Amino acid sequence: MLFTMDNVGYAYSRRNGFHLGPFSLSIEAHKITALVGSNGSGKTTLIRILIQELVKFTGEYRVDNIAVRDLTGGFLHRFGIGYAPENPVLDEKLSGYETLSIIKEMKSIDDTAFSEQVLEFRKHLQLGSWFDTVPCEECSQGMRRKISLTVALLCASSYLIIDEPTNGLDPLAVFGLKQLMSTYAKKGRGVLVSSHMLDFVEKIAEQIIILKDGALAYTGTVSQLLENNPGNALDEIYYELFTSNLKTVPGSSL
Amino acid sequence: MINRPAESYLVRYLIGKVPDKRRSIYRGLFSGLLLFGIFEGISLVNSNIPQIPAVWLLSIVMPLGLIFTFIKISRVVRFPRTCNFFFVICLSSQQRKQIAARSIRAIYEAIMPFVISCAAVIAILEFSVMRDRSIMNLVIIPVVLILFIVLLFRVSEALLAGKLLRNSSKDMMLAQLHTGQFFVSVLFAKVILTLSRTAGRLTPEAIRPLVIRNFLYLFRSDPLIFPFFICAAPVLLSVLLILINNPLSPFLDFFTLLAIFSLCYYNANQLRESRLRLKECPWYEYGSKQFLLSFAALSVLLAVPFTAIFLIRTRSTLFSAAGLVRAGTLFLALIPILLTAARPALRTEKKDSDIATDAVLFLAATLGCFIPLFGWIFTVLTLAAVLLLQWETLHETGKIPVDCSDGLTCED
Repeated sequence: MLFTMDNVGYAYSRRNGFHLGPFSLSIEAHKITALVGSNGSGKTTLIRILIQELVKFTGEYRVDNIAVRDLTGGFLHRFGIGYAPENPVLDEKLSGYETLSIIKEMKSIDDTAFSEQVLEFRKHLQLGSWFDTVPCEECSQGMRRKISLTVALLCASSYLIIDEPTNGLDPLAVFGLKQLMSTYAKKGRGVLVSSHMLDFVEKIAEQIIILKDGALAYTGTVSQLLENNPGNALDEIYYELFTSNLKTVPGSSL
Repeated sequence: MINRPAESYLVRYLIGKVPDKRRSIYRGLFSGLLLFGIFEGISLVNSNIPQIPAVWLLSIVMPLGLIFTFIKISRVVRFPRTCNFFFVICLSSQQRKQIAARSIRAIYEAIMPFVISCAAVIAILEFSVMRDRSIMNLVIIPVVLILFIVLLFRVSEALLAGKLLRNSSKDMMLAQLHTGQFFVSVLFAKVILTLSRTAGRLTPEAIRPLVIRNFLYLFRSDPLIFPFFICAAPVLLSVLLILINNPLSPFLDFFTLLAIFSLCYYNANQLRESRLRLKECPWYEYGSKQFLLSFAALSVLLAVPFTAIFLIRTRSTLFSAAGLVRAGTLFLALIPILLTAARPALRTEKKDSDIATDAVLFLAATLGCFIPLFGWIFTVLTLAAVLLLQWETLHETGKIPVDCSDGLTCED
């Protein structure tokens, strides 16, 4: 799967003032890509365009060379994309396991594959019996985050998009999530992860997209970025970019 | 202990204004007269109209009313955190029990004069107008009814004041995080999932996930009331249909449709919030149209016992041209009735006039049952009206992107 954006731009309203892009971008779907930037830099807006929650963008957005501007709400299902938003949106009255069971029916996942998947989730995200019994509305922030991640992972037959996945997770679950993501990527599928946790990003991502004030500041591999800035860790490069007047990362081809 | 004015205020908040003894007696006399007039008196004028013993109806309605009142009052003990009157949460468990017991006593004090006067009027009218001399109808049933209400009251009061009823674990969870490791929670989760999946298997694949979800949602919304309705409603309908002596009576059709409509209407109200969740959750791709279809499938499943009871009750007249037309009209009437019952779940905002519209649509759909042979024409006309009302829903394509939800076209 390949996401391509040609001169894509988005403005909410004149009163809001924020403008994303226009910029061109390609995201390969066989790798883990990190999306970083300060608050208000446009990460969530970019994700919402990618998943077609926002469709009034300028320019052209293609998935596997098919131009998309989805008005039916079937985009995620059509392309097999799993999405975990920053603030988990869940089916409040149902438990995590019940939600997964419904997705199993929706995606026609067979019983064995489903049981194996759920077992993996239980092991890596430390899902206790609360996962089967407690309705989402009664879960803590961390529990809700875990349920949201399992839902996204089960839906993601081709690609996974997660916004701030480590929010509210304990270190054990963060470690488990890293393992789940790398197992997922090893199957030839991709992940787009938006995060402020640069050490987390540095450890898992191959590609990185940095946004600054709605514009693209860097896109490429993490190793290339570190090579272009010798002696600096990712957080140091990030700090320099956001505390200076630079519009792009030094060494960037943008 | 709570002081007397505060207690009275809370009781009034829980059960509303309770009439005094004199008013209860007047209301009982009037209700007795009305019940007798509608269900027995009219048959004296027109012998085609079936006669239903009013005292039997009273015996069904009153205990049911008391059970529902008990469930409503017990919420203050079981789910104080869900009470929309914030003061309740400040009370201790003992104080809430005291309020609940006081409330049920107030209900009892109002209901007993009502029942006695109502049953007495009915018995007098049965004796004098209908010339009924049966000890069963005149004495035994009213006495059993009164004794049963006394028993219900005693049990309710003992339950509310005693140790058996307490904060439900669900309510405790709202106050503190729980682990959900109780055996009962695990068992309950397994049972409702199995039941929902089994029900889902009986529906078309395209809407199966939604049917399973809606079943789970109903079980989770009220684990007590939903199964109670599913089990108790067919039993009550059976009793009622047996009481209507005549298998040709159109009231058999009417009460069958009324039972299905009431159950589905209740479910639709429970599922209203669930449809909003369906729009918000990114992994669902369903719109209102699929939701409506899944609700209809769920309702058809729940309607099976009711229609089976109806068919068994009318079996002696079923296998004739008139009987088949009658059954056909009933099944045809089910379509507009189920579509009407789904309306509360599909509404974006609640208006008082909607309930009136739904009631009119239900009555219009059931009108056909009272007209021999050509009743189906009224049902078809009602179906057309309901489809027109639901036209927008049936043509909805799916979710609308966030930046198009203000109604602007998405091409600009």
